[in-house]
Parts: sequence; structure tokens; C-alpha cells
Amino acid sequence: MSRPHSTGFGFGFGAALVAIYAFIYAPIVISFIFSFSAERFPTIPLGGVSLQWYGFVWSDPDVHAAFWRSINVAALAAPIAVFIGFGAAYTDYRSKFFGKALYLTLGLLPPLVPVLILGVAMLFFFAKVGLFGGLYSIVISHVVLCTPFAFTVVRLRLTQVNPALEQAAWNLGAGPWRTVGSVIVPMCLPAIVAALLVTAAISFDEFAVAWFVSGMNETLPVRVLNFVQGQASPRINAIGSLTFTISMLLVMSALILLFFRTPQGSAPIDAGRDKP
Amino acid sequence: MSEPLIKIRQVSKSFGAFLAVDGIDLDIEEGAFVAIMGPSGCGKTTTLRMIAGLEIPDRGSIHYRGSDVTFASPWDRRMPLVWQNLALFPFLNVIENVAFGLRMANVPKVERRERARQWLDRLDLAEFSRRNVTDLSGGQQQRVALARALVTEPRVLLLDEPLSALDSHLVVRMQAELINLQRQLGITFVYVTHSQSEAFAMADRVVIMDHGRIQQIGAPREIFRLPANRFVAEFVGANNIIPGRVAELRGERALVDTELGRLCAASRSPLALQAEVDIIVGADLIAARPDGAFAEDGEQILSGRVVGEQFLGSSVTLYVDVGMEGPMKVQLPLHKFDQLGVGRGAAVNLSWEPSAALVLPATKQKPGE
Repeated sequence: MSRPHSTGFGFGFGAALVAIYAFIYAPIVISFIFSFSAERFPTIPLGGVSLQWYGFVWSDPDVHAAFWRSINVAALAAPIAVFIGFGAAYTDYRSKFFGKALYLTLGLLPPLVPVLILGVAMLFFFAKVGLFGGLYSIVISHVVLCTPFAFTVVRLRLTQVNPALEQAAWNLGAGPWRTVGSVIVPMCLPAIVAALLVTAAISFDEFAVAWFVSGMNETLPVRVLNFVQGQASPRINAIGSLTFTISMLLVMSALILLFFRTPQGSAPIDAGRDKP
Repeated sequence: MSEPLIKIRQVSKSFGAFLAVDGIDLDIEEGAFVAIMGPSGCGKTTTLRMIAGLEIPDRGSIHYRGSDVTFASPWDRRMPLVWQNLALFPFLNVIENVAFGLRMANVPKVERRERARQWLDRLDLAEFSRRNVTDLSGGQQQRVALARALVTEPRVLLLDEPLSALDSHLVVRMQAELINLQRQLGITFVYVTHSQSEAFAMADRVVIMDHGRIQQIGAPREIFRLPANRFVAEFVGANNIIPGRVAELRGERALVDTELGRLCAASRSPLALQAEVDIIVGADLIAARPDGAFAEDGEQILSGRVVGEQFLGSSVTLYVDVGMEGPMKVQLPLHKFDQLGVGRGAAVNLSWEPSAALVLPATKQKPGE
């Protein structure tokens, strides 16, 4: 079959794609390159290669503290968000009830609220209830921000789960709670792990809300901002590259789990039929 | 008389505006192999799911071993179901799938391994015990589903069209296995199917459903030869249906005026003169002879012309135009058909003994109403 325009179109499309990716990733790549610069004001090509900025970052106790704070927040916020998100997704899967559309909309809303507004709202709320400034106030805010993502990831997986599996478990004597534990959770396991990774990455990266509610407890992104405000040190490049790498690793692992691992049990129900 | 194992009384179930099951009564005796058969949407699967507790009846009651289980939870019933799509757990291997019910019953690990292994042996699955269920063939998966359901040693096994996804050569083998299994275990099987051949081959009682109602309950042979109404006559076997009006009654016989003339048929239920009736004649009970040949004494004779034939293997169905709406179906063994030696367009005489024809009150409305 001849497709006379396909080559020209394909070329144009490819070029556009390259341009878009360049636009998105060029600053990050340049920041990566500059983080290895030996000079105070790096140029391309690099005047010299050095790990000195990483050294500075490594020896800065503020960065250390901020890094561990971020890790702690992510390690707490991610499991809580996934727990709530799983519950919400399972409710959506299991039950039909009045106002379900509203329930879904409200559940998915937080990421659509501008983070500045969310941050200010959190700040006032925590101040009002006397929770301002603690690490847990960041954890709570991040749970709010992350839950919809966990909800979405788990829900996507549940749509592929054959409802007969749950009924088969009931039929074999498993009560409703036991069925969730012994059938639904194993079926969703890749999605649950992926949700943990995604929410951890979101929390680890999150700046705006943390800036409002963290008080003295700077997380890593807040620390980075404070760097920029002080002086334009190339340490920014080093710390930025580190943060970016960690987030990317988390998100990429999640994607691999979600899309490249053959999801078991989501195959057609008559899969394996008449194999020799 | 002993209490039936499962007793269903006046059970109805609707889904929205659709009345799936409409006030059925059904007794299932201990140790029976009961097939519930009907076209899709007749309510057979809904009935099975209500027995299993996966649907709650809108009205009526279901008793199991004398106690009311109408609203009992499915996990409390111990009535395992073999699913049409099998519903094996893909995250568990073969032996873990089989042991699932025992795990849920908190049977200790060593014992449940042992019992699961016995069932795998029994169903020729021992070598696959560590395999992933998705790596098995359709027939093997089918046996895993059976083992998973039977490992808890239930009194009753529910089966929802379990063979419909299998190739036809496997279906026949699995049918034989199921019959053997049911005989050996002596437990009750309730088997839902849309396939007449499956129901007739396996069950000792067949329940025919349509539009949410039970149309007939009986042994396969009884349902095949003595359909209770026109729906059953059309749904099972190859029956010819000739509408008419009762002209004369002579004991067990009725003379019926039809568009083919006055025909004689056996009646099982009391009929009124002038009542509208249908005469049912099994296609395999009709003899075909070349035109001009004499029939036996007392036989009904119709002459017609062959308009089509359908080769079925060991038998052939002839379609013969006898002057009524739609051709008559005549089923002949292949050797008889070869002796007859008629082709399309040939004139033939059709005949049957009066006792081979059954007269039933006509059902003009929806069957069962």
C-alpha cells in the first residue's frame, strides 16, 4: 500500500517531537553539565571538570538536614496517601451509591487547586489548629496532594480486574475483608508499589506547599529556593541534579511497574485456552 | 419423603425493569445431577447465583438442608461455583489456587497442601502444581477450577456453563469426567447450560427455563419426547408444530382439524372441543417414503415435496413442503436416507403413527403465561 505523504509527515512529526523534548530537557541537561564545572561562572564548553560543588553540598549540614527531612516526609506521606487512595479506589470499584460522581470529583480535585492557594489555605488551617511548623504539617499537606495520584493509579489497575475473582473468593469462603487482603491487594500489587513510588516522588519534589507550612523545617526543595535567594551559587546545579535524579528514578520505576510488567490476570478471561 | 437438599419457593429477581426470574419453585434432591437449561436471558444463571448467594432474591425463599439461606452471605454457604470464565486467581500457582478455599477455612498449611495435592492427583494435574495457572491449557484450567471447588468437600457443586469456552472435542471428554466425578462423589451437581446436548448427556433431571419461569422439569428423555408446551417443543429436539382446533375427543386421542386436514394425536391433558391446540411431531418419528408407496395401517399420511436437506453426519434432516407455513422437518438415519434416494424437488409421502403425535393446548402469548 502506498502512503505518499507518510514520509514527509513522519519527518515533520519527528522534528516537532525532538524540538519539544529539547525545550523541556535542555535546561535540566545544562544544569547537569554545569554541576560538574570547575568555575564559579560556568560556560560552554566547560572550562574544567570538577566535583567541587557536590563537595560543597555534601559538607553543608543544612542540606543534609533538609535532605533527610524530605526523605522522612516522603516515607511517611507516600504510604498514608496510598492507603487512603487504595481505599477510595476500592470503594469506587466495589460500590454504587448516590453521589458517586461527586465523590470521585472531590477525590481527584486537590492537584487541580493551584498549589499557592493550597499552601496558603494549609498555612492558615494549621495555624488555626495549632499544628503549624511541625514536620507532620508537611506530611499532612503532602498526603492531601498525593492521595489523588495514588487513587488514580490504583483505580486504573482495578478497572482491569475481573469482578468474578472477588465473587469467586466469597464463594470459596472468604469474607469481604479477607477477600480484599487475599485477592484485591495481590491483584493490585504492581499498582500499589507504583503508587508508592509516584507519591514519594511528588512529595520529595514538592516545594510550594512545603514552603508555606514547613516553618523552620526546610525540606530539600525549600532549601534550594533559599540558596537561590541568597546567591546564585553553582551548588544549585549540583543539588538540582541530585534531586532530579532521585525523582526520575522513582517515577521511572513506577512506570516500568505499571506498563512494562505484564499485568497478571488482566489478560482476556479465556487466556491460555487450548495451548498445546 | 425426605426434605430436598435445596428448596426454592416463589423466588423472583429483577434487574431494573428486567424481570430475570419470575416466581420459580424448584426442589433439588440430594445426590442429583440437575441441569438448568434455557436460552440466554431465561434466568438460569440468575437462579444459580441466587443459590450461591451472589444475588439476593426480591421475593421468595431458598432453603438449604432445611435452613433458610435466602439472605445468607455467599462466604457462609459452602456451595462452590465453577465459573464460566473460570475466575482462577492469576497471582497464585495451581496448588495455591486449589488450596484457596481451605486457606479461607483456616485449615493448617500442611493439611491443606496434602488435600490440594490429592485433588491435583485425582484430576491429573499433579505435574502442574507449581505452574502459573495462565500457563495451562483451557482443559487443564478447567480441571484446576473443578479441583478448587471440590477440595473443600462440599455437598453441592454449582456449575455455570463451565464447558462453554472449551473446544468441542474437549467438551465431550470433560462431560464424561464430570459424570464420573458426580457418581463417585455422590454429591449434588447443579449445572447451568444453554446446550441441550450437554444437559441431556449429563443430567438426570433437566429444568427448562424461559422468560424467568420454569417451563418443564423432568428426565431428559421425558422432556425430549413429551414437551410440556410449545416453547419446550421448539427449544429441545427437532419438533414439527402444527396448529389446529380440536374436532373430536376419543379418550386419550384427539382429532384435530388443521390446515393439513384432520389429524389424530395423543393428548396428555384434558382438552375442550374447539380448543386451539398445537400438534407436536418429533422429526425423527416421521417416516418418509417415495410417492405412491403404501403406508402402514392407521398411519397419518401427508404428501409433499422435498425443498431442502441438511447433512448432520449419521442422520439427515429433510425439509418437506406439505402445504403449511414452513416445511416439515424429517430426520432420517443416513442409511434410510440413502435407501430413500430422493433429492430436492422429489415427491415424498410422510407418515407417522398417531401415538407419535402429541397434542398440547396452544400458547399464543409468551410461553409460560
